[in-house]
Amino acid sequence: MLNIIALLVFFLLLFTLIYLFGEYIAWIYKDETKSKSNLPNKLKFIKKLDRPFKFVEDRIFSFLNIDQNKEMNWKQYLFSLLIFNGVLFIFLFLVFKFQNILPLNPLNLEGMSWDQAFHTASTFISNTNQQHYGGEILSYFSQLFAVGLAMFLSAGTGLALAPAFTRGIQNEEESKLGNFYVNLIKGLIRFLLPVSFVVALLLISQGSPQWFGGEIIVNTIEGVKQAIRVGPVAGIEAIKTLGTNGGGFFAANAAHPFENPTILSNIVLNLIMLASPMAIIYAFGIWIGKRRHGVILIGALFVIFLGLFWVTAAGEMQPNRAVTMVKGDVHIDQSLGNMEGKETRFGSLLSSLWAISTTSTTNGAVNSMHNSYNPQGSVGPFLAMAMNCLYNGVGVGLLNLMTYIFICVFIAGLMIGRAPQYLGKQIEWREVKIAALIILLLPVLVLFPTSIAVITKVGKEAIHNPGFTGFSEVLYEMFSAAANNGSGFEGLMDNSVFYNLLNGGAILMGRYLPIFGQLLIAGYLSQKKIRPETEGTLKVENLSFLVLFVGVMIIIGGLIFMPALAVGPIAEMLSGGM
Amino acid sequence: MFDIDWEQQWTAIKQSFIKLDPGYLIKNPVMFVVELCTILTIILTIYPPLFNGQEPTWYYLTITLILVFTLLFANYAESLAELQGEAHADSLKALQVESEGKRLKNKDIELDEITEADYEVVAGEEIEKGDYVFAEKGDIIPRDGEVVEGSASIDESAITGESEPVIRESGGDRNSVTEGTEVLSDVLKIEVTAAVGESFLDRMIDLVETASRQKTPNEISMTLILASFTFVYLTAVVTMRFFGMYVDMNVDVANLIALLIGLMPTTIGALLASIRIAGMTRVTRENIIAKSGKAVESAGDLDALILDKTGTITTGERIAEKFIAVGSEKNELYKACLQSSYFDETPEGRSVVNLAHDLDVEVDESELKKEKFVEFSAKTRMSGIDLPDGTEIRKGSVEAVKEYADKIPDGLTDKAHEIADSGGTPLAVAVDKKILGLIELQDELKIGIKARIQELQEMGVKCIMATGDNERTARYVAEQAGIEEYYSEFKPEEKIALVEKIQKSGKLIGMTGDGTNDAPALAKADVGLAMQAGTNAAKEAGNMVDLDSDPTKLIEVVAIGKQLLMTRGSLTTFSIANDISRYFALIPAIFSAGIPALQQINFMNLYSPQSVVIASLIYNSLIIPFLIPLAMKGVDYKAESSSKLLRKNLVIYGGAGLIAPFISIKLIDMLLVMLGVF
Repeated sequence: MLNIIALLVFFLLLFTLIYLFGEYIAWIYKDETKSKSNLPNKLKFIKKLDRPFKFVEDRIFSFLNIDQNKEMNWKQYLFSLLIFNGVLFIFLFLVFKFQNILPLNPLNLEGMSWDQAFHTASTFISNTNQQHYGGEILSYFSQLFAVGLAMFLSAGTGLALAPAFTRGIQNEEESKLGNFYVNLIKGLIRFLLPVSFVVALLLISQGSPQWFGGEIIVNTIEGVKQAIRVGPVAGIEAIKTLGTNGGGFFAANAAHPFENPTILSNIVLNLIMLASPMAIIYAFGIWIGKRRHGVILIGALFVIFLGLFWVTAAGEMQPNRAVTMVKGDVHIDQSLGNMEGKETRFGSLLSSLWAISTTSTTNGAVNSMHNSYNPQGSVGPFLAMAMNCLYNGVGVGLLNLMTYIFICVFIAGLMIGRAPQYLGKQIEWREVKIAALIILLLPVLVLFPTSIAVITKVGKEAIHNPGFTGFSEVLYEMFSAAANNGSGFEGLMDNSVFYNLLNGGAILMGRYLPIFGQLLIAGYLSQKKIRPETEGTLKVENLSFLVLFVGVMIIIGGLIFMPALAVGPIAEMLSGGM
Repeated sequence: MFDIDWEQQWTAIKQSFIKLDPGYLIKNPVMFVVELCTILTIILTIYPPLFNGQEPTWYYLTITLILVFTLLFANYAESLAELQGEAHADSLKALQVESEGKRLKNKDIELDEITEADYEVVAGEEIEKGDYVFAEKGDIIPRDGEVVEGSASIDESAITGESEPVIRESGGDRNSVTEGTEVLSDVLKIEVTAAVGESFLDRMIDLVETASRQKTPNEISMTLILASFTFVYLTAVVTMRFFGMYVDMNVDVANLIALLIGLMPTTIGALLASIRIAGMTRVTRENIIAKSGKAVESAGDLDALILDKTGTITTGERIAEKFIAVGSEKNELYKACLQSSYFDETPEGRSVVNLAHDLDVEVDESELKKEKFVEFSAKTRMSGIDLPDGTEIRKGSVEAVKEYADKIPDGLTDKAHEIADSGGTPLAVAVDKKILGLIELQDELKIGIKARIQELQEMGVKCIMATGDNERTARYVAEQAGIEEYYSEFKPEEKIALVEKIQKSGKLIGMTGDGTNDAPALAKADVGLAMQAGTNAAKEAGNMVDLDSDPTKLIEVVAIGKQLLMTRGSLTTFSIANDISRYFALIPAIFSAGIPALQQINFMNLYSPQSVVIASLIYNSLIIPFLIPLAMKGVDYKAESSSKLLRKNLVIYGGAGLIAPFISIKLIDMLLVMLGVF
C-alpha cells in the first residue's frame, strides 16, 4: 500500500515536471516551430527570461559568426548536424586516445586503445553512452572536455531535431525547417545548461562531490586502504540524466554513492530522466496547437511503460532464486525482494522503476545491476529497449514516436476508407517507405550482431555466465547499442576490438540513419498542403487509434524480438534456474 | 442457387499455376518470399541433410505441398478477380461486331442533300479519324464521333443498358455518338473522332484491363509496408537458427519457414491484388469507366462534391404540383388547365394532364382538335388550344400571360411570388384573355437523394450545390436536400474558379459535368465524372465517364472508393493481428529440443512441435480462400463518422485476427491428431 502511494506521488511529480518542462521547451522554440499556442497565464513570467537569454545567445551567435535568420531546408539541416557531430567525433576520439599527453591528468592515466576510443567517441556523440570501460580510467580532461561536453552537445543535437521536425509538419508548401545551430544553442542555453545547474546544486546538497581533488584515500572497514576518485561528479551526473545520456563518472554508474547519494537524489534523477524526453512530446502538442494530443501520446506510451514496470517490479519483489539455493544453516531474509546487485538505499521497487525508466528512455544510467535481476525482472528492460525505448531520447524520441505514428496512421486511414493523413498532412508512399525502413533498422542492428556474437569464438569468449544468461548479456549489449540506450546488463567482457567495433558501428547507424530518414520525412511533409479536418478525417486522439498504435508498437516493435528473448530471459525465467 | 461459372473457375485455376512464374510473382514481395521458401522446402524434401534436417521426408513434403497451395490460393484469388473484371469488359467487346459505315465523299455536303450517291459503304475499320459519315434510321454508328449536323434519337442500350432512347444533336453538349449504338430515327452527319482501336469501347476494355494490372499509389505504399514487415520477420527468423546454435540445437529450417510464413502478412499479401481488381470491377459494374485505379481511390477520399442541381439533386423535370385559382371558380380553372395541355407533349404538359386526371377533371374531348393546338413559341411564350366555339385557352409564363390578358386579377402577382419562393415555377392560365389562376410546377428531388447527401455529410464529404437558377429556387432546393453551401445563378465557366478555391483550402474535390465549358473544371477536379452523353471534350477531361449519364452516381463512386480502401486496411489489420498467436504456438515448438522449458508458453496445449507447424501452415493457406469472398465483395460499408468506422473495423478485423488463428490452429491440430496423422 505504501508502495502504491509512493508511486502515485512519484507519477504526480513526474506529470507536474513534464508540464513545466513541456511548456518551457515549447516556449523556447515558439518561433522556430511556428507554434500555434502561447504560455499559459500562470507561466507567463517565464517570458522575462527571454532578454537575458537572448543577450547571451546573441553574443554566441556573433562570436561564432552564425546568421540567426538563415533558414535551412532538410538537406542543409542534416548536413549541418552531420558536420557538427563529425567534428565532435574526431575531437572525442583524439582526446580519448591521447589523454595521457593532455593536461588535467593528475593520476597519469593512459590513453585508450584505438578501438575503444572509436567505441567511446561513437557512444558519446550519439547520446548513447554505452561504456566499455570503467569511468575511473578517464582523466579529468576527458571527463570534462570530452564526456561532459559531448553530453551537452549530443543532447542538444537531439533536442534541436524536435523543432525542425515539427516545422516540417507546420509548414505549408515551404521547405525551410529552421537553423540547426540556432536550435542547438537555444536548447543548450535555455534548457540543458540552466536545468543541469539546478540539478547539480541539488546533488551537491545531497553529498555528490564537485571538485578536482584526484583521489580520497580512506580506511575501509575491512582495514585496507582504498583510493576513491572524485571529480566534477555532480555536474556530469546532472546532464547525464537530463540529456538522456547515461554515462557514469564511475563504473558503478548511478549505483555509486557519489553519483547518487540518497533516496532523494535517486528520485530527483529518476524524475528528470523521464521528464526530459516526455516533455518534448508534450511540447509537440503545444506547438501544433493541440495540448491534448501531446498528453494522449504520452499516455499511450505510459500504458506500455506501466505494463513493463509491473512485469519487472513483480519479478524483483520476489526473492532471488539463486540465493535461496544456498546450502547450510545460513538463512537469508529476502522479504525485501531480490536485493542482489541493488543498493540498500533504493530497494527493489525503486531499482525496478529506475531500470524501466532508463530503458524506456535512451538514458542508460543504471542504479542496480540488471544481470542480477530475476529473469522475469529482466524481461522489462529488454522489451522497453525492443520498442526502441518508448520515449527514447531528448528530441529524437519525438521523431521515433512519429515514425510509428505514420505507419499506424496509414493502416487506420485505410480502415476508415480515407487516404492516410496526419495533422492535415497526407502520408504517402515516400513517407511510409522511410518510416518502415526506420522501424526495420532496429531488428537488423540487434539480431544480426547478436547472431555473429553468439556463434563466433571471439564473441562467445566475452560471455561471463553460461547458458541463457550469457545469451541475455550479449543480446542486451546489442539492444543497448542499436537503440542508443547505453545501459549495460554487465557481465559481458565487452572491451575487445570485436565488441567495440560491432557496437560502435551499430550505435552510429542506430543514431544517424533514423535521423536522416526522419529529416527526409520532415522535408517531404513541409512541401505539402494542410488539409483541413472534417468529420471523415481520421481522429488520432480517440481510443481506437491508440489501441491500434499500442498494438502495432507491441507486435512490430516488441514481439519481433520474441524469438531472441525466448533464448535469453524468457528461457531463463521458464527454466526456473539461474 | 449458386451460380458458378465453371469455365471461369477452370480458367482461374489454370492461371493460378501459370502465375507461379517467379518473374510474375516478384511484383508481390510477400508471395515471392513464400515462393522462395517453397523452393527451399522442395530442396529439403529431396535432400533433407541440407541444413542438417532431422525430420522425415514426408514432413518436408507436406510442408512443401501446403506452401504450394498457399501460393495457388493467392494466385487463384487474383485470377478470379481479373476474370470477373474481364467478363464485364468482354460483354462489351461482343458489341464490336464488324460494322459498316457510310463514308461521305464530300465533307461539305449539307445533310438534307445527301443521297445514296454521296457516300460509300465501307467496313468499319477502314474509316479513319477525321472522316465524315452519314447515319440514318437503322444504322449502327461505326465509330465514336461528334454530330456535325442533324438531330436524331439513338438507342444506347447496348452500352448503358438504358432502354430509353436519347437525343444526339449538333452543337450543344449532347453531340457525341458512340460506336455500337443504333440510330432510331432521323439522320446525322458525324465527324469521326476516334481512330481504329481507340474508340470508346476499345478504351473501356483497355482501361478495365490495365486498371487491373496497375497498382495504385496507395497500394504501392501498402506493398512497401508489407515488404518491409516481411524483411523484419525474415531477420527475426533467420537469426533464430544462429541462436539455436548457441544453445547447441539444430533449428530445423522447415520449421523456421513455417514461423516466417505465419508472421509474414501473407493474407493481405495474397489478397491485395484481388481487392484492387474487385474494386475496379465494382466501378465498371456501375457502368462507369475509371481511367485509373487512382481515380477510384481518390473518390473515396474526397472532402467535397460539387453537385449540379438539375439532373443530380432534382430530376430536372418540372412537374405540376397544384392548380391555384385566383379570382375564379376552381372547376373552371381545372378544366382550362387540362384543355390547354391536352396535346402538349412536353413533360410539363404531360404532368398537367396527369394532375388533372388525379383531380378527376373531365372535359368534352370531342371539342379538342389536334389541329387547333397552339404550340409554344419563343415569341408568345405561351401554348394552348382554340375550341370550336372560338374560345382561346392559353397557358404560359406569368409575365407572358399578363401581357396577353386584359385584366390581372388581384393577388396573382403575390401568389406567383409565393410559388417562386418555394422553389417552384408558376404558369398562368387564361381563357379568352381572362386569367383564371396558376399552375405550380415543381422541380422534384430525386428519390432518396436527401438521405444520400446526409450520408455523405456524415462521412465528412461536404456537398456543394451549383445551379444556374435564381437565388430563391436554389435556396429552396438546397434546404430540401439538406445542403448548406450552394451557389445560385452559377455559370458553368465559374466552376473552375470554385474548384480551385476549394482545392486551395487543401480539400479534395469531385464534380460531374457534361458540357465543353465544364471540361477545364473536370480536368482540374480530383475526381471529374463526365457524362457519356456529354461532349468529347468533357469526356477527355474527366477521369471517369458514366455511361448512363447519371450524375448522382458520383456518390456511388465515393462509396466504392472508400470501400476499396477499407477492405485493404481491415485485412491488413487482420493479417498483423494474426502474428500474436504464432509466437505462442510456434516458438516453443521450434525451440522444443533446445529449450524444453518454453513449452510453458504453449498454453493451447498443441500436440507436438510437428503438428503445430503443419497446423499453422494449413491455417495460413486456408485463410486465403476463406477470405476471397470478402476481398471481392469489400468489407461492409455503412456511412458513419470516422471514429465509429475505425472502432468497428478495428474490433471486427483486429479482434478476429487476434482470435481466429488461436482457435483454428487448435482445431486443425486436434483434427490432425484425430485423423491419426500424428
